[in-house]
Amino acid sequence: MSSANVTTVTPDASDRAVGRALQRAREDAELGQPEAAKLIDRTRVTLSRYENGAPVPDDILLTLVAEYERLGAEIPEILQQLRDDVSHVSSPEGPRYSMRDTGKVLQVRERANSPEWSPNPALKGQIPKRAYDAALGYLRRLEAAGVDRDHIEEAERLMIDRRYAKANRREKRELSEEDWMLLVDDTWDAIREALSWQGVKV
Amino acid sequence: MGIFMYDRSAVRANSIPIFRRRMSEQHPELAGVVDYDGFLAMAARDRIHVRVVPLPARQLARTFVVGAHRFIRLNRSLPLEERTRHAMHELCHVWRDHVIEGAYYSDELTGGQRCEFADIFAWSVTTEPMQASLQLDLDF
Repeated sequence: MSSANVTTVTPDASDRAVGRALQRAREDAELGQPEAAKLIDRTRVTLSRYENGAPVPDDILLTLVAEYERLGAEIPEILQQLRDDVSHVSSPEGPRYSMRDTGKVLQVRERANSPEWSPNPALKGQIPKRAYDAALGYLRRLEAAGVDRDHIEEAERLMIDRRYAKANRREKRELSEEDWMLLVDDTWDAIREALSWQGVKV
Repeated sequence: MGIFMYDRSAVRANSIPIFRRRMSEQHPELAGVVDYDGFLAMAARDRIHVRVVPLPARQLARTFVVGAHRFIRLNRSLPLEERTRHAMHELCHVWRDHVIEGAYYSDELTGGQRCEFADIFAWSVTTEPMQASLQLDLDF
């Protein structure tokens, strides 16, 4: 099994609550979003997304909580609980899992410290393989065009991450592979269009 | 307000007629029955990029954000009247529900309070009889 380079991705059951708690803690630490974003080497936009309910990688969560606490902020209980849960991962014995109250086990490879983008393995099984491979191809094109990591990750979430879709969590039926291909291709068209407005050709 | 053109606290009324009245200050098309051209005009005014595209059969419309750009996609298979209604559903999400990331979509199983509001709003602005019946001033 892999070494200490293991990080888990927080499930989305209370992402909004986590986001609000992060915002409260940041404000209690008397930090603006730009300053706090620098603590985790991310953009203000990314931090804003986290505070508005985007799933927060555990390493980011740990860093923010530690920094806010260091600055004297009161840490909301939900963040304390998550910190305790996540801390199992950093044990020197190298556990590869983080157990959640639901019993769900998530294991992904750590990507956090690299400035280079790499595919998020947690997203790999979310859509059919053909659609996933197509999305990956598009993301590689973004990488080759020099698009920064944050924006590639955003594109990755849009194309692949089901949790990024806000509406209708009641839908249990699976979309077909062909349906996913339509969505991936359509999202890619929009991404390419948005980039072209900024003078980036992919 | 960044990507927003409207103060959320001002527009996020829980009453559909009040929400509609507030939005009509910027979008006069809402004063009457909205047709597809009216929707396009409102979307253009708010710099939302609209395309009619092939989508999965049960995804009637979707809204998503790329960077600072917002996109509404409408299912090519929809007849015009339905297309307008689902378009207005998505526009309601953009105006009211803090769409700055991720994807929203309208399909045959839309659920949750936000989608219910958007559904009724879309019906109310695209259907003449519904406009009259909204004297009821439904609250959420």
